[in-house]
Amino acid sequence: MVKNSFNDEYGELLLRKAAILLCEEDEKIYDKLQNDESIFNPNQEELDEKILGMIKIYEKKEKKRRNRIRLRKITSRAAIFISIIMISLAITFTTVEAFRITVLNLIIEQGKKYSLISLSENDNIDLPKELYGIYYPYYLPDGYKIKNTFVSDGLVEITFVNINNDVINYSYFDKNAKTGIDTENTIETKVLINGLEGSIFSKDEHRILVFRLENNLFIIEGNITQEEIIKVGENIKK
Amino acid sequence: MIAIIAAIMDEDERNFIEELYIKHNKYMWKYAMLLTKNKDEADEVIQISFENIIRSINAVKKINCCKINSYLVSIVRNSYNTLLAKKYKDRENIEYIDIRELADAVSNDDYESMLERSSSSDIMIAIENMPEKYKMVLKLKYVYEFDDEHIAEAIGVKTNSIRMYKTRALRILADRLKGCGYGEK
Repeated sequence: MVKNSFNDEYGELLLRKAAILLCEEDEKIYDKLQNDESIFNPNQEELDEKILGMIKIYEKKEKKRRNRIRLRKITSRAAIFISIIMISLAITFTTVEAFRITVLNLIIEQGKKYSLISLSENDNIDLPKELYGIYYPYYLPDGYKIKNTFVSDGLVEITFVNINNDVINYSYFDKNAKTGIDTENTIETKVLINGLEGSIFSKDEHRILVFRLENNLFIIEGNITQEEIIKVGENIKK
Repeated sequence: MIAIIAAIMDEDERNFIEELYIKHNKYMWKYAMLLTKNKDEADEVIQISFENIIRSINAVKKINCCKINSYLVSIVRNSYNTLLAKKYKDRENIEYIDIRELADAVSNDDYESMLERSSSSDIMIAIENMPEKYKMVLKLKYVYEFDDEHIAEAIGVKTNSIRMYKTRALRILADRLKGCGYGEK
């Protein structure tokens, strides 16, 4: 095997030597032609025009070809760049918790007759267990007592009444629930409940307070003043 | 910026070919005339030569300036052969090479002693009547340092045929140096 390999190398050397000798012969031919004045082209201009024209055409074709290649390269790079951006954005949306939490916002779609209230969802969030506990309004206007309660997963409803049969409905639900409230001909007022943004929908003496605390949406409804309803909201605690 | 660089490259290549033509075309034409004995055919040979040069421009640009004269002589001769082949439809085809012959080429020839024993004139005699295409392959490969792809472009064959040309050239050379030629034209 080693012998064959050496032999191949010597074969290469033999060919190389032959090639060099051939070129030396060609070099001699060129030198002779340089000194030979007996042969000349009577149609030199015609040949010049033809060959130089051909070279110019080549240049144009080459330009077009290179432009095509360049365009193809740029297009493919742009496609790769856009793909990377899209993938990066997708990863950011799905993996960064802080990013997702900011997406969870109160959405109130106000229609003509009612408002559909919900929390924008992000099913990937695992809420801490303590948030599923019951929040209770530790302040209520005088005379109100519990009439009905309803507690289920993600929904708490409590009805309070006073001796005049005035009713305050208190409810909250988590992000998985939706509810509707009557907002026909109401006036919406933006308020802050312990620094959290909320809305009061008022019609005559009737008021509905809607606000968000943690991942729950709270609704308090009754014939009470704005100050009172805000105070009820501010005193909701576990 | 990229467009400007590309434009400069195009212009550089054009200038290179133009300079090559202006500097050497008279001698190339003289040689073409010696080969063809016909003015129109000599023009045609020059045209074919420059078509070849353009086709292999990237490799031609790398040829050492001391070797360019001999390269141009080779290219004119090769173009002349192309013209003849066109004219007489007598194109040599690599497919005609007998594979069994090639198998023998890995034979037991001792190239080392062959190289030691043979003088330059022995080698010249041995390659004198070798087909022109084979000679061209050897020159392009070993002197002008074209890669196989550019050699294939220059002589108009497939890239994987180059190795076969080389192998066969070695066999012809070895056989003739041994004094038992294969009767190549």
